[in-house]
Amino acid sequence: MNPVRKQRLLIVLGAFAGVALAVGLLLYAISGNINLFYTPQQVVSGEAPVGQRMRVGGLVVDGTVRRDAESLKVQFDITDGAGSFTVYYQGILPDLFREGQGVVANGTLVSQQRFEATEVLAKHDETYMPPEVQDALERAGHPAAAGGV
Amino acid sequence: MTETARPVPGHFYLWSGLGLLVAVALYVFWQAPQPNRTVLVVGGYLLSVLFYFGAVRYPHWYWQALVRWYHQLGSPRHFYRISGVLLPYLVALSGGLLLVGLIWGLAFSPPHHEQGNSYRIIYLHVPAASGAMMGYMAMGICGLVSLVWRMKMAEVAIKAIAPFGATLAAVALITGAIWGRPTWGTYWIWDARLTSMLILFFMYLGVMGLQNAIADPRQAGRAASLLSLVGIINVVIVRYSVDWWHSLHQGSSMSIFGAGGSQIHPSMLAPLLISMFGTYFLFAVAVLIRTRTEVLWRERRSRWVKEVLR
Amino acid sequence: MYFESWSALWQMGTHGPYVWSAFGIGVALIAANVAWALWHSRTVRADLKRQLQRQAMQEKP
Repeated sequence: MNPVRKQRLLIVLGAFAGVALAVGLLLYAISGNINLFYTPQQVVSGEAPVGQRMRVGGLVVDGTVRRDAESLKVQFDITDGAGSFTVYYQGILPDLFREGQGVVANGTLVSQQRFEATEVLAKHDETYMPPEVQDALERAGHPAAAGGV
Repeated sequence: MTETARPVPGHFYLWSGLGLLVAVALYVFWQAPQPNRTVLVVGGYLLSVLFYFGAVRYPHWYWQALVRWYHQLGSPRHFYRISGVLLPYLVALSGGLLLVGLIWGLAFSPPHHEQGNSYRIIYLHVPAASGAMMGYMAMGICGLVSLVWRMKMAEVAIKAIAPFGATLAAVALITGAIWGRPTWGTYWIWDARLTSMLILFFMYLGVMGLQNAIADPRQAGRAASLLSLVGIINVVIVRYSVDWWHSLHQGSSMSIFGAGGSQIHPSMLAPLLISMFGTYFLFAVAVLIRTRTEVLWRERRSRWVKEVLR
Repeated sequence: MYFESWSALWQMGTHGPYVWSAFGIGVALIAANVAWALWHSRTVRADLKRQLQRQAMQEKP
């Protein structure tokens, strides 16, 4: 390669590496703010600040969903396997809200066991299969049939 | 640079044998799903043998082909001629693939086990998003070529890629928002994947804007090249945003190198891949059309353009 | 076809409006972009041709 081009290549690649490094460090430094939600583990261990508005995310625990008969009030536990707490919500839940499914809730962490949500969003996982395939997997007791975060 | 074929030396067998051992070890210990592993390991081994034979033993042949290719692509006149031959085939290919892929996805593929029919938006959303990202990668590489080798055609290519890439990014954002409403319960959320994709859209607009805002074409080309190259960082962030941070957006469903492989059932994956390749070819069509226009305009004083227009 | 009738394809359970609006907007945007590229190519060609003809006229006499 001719020396002028070689020098230009080195300068350009060096500048690129510098910018990439700067962006990487910046993202690493603010990575807490980029995370959309706190996990139940972070809530239970006290890493998530109590009394503030925030988002939490986890899997809805089977059998914990309780709906109020007269109003839209609903409560359910969410977990990530390392901790769990109860979410209280009043409003319409998204279509994909199901036990065992992932959810992201926006609201206030009142205590480490109580989260009062103003908005509940459903999070779906990356598996795509037809209903018959899921039925077959469920009959066979395959773990892939259960939803995940 | 003339060199006659020489007999294969003994150390060729030594190195290819060692390479075979490495390939077998990779195959045994790699956690990726079997079909991917097979293709990648066997393909990688064959490619490295080819590379050894071609680029290491007989480099002059490779080098000559590369130089000829580079000069033909870099010469506006040859580019115009070659792309003119290629264009009708690309149009037919992309049109056919998109028609089959989109109709298959919309009407013939089965519904999703949880989302029902709303998931069919994937057949436009994923091809658009992936096309926008691949397009930016291509634009970034053109930026590097134009900055280091001062190749005029690379600048023209950047100018041709940006508008279609911006459109695909916008389509990915819009279809994603419409899909998000019934599945997540919201059109938009400032999640890492969505935000970085929005930035990708703005980067495309930025490249287009720089070219229009700077009057001096040389400086405009250089600024656009630089922004294209630096923006590659953002493409990497878009790709890995769902792995690096907690997001509402799902993780990757398709991975070639990871342990998961494809999380999409074959009956849904087939139309998706068809529409993805259809979109890539349509991208090529749009880029070729714009490049040809720009080349004609830039070379308007040369004799070959006058002959072409006659 | 997975759907039993054209109206079922149109309605897609309850998701018809989402799916069809997404495809409508997306396909329209992409088609408009390609049409724009074609239109631009045609106008540039026409301009250049006109310029060439004007030059030829000037050179003749």
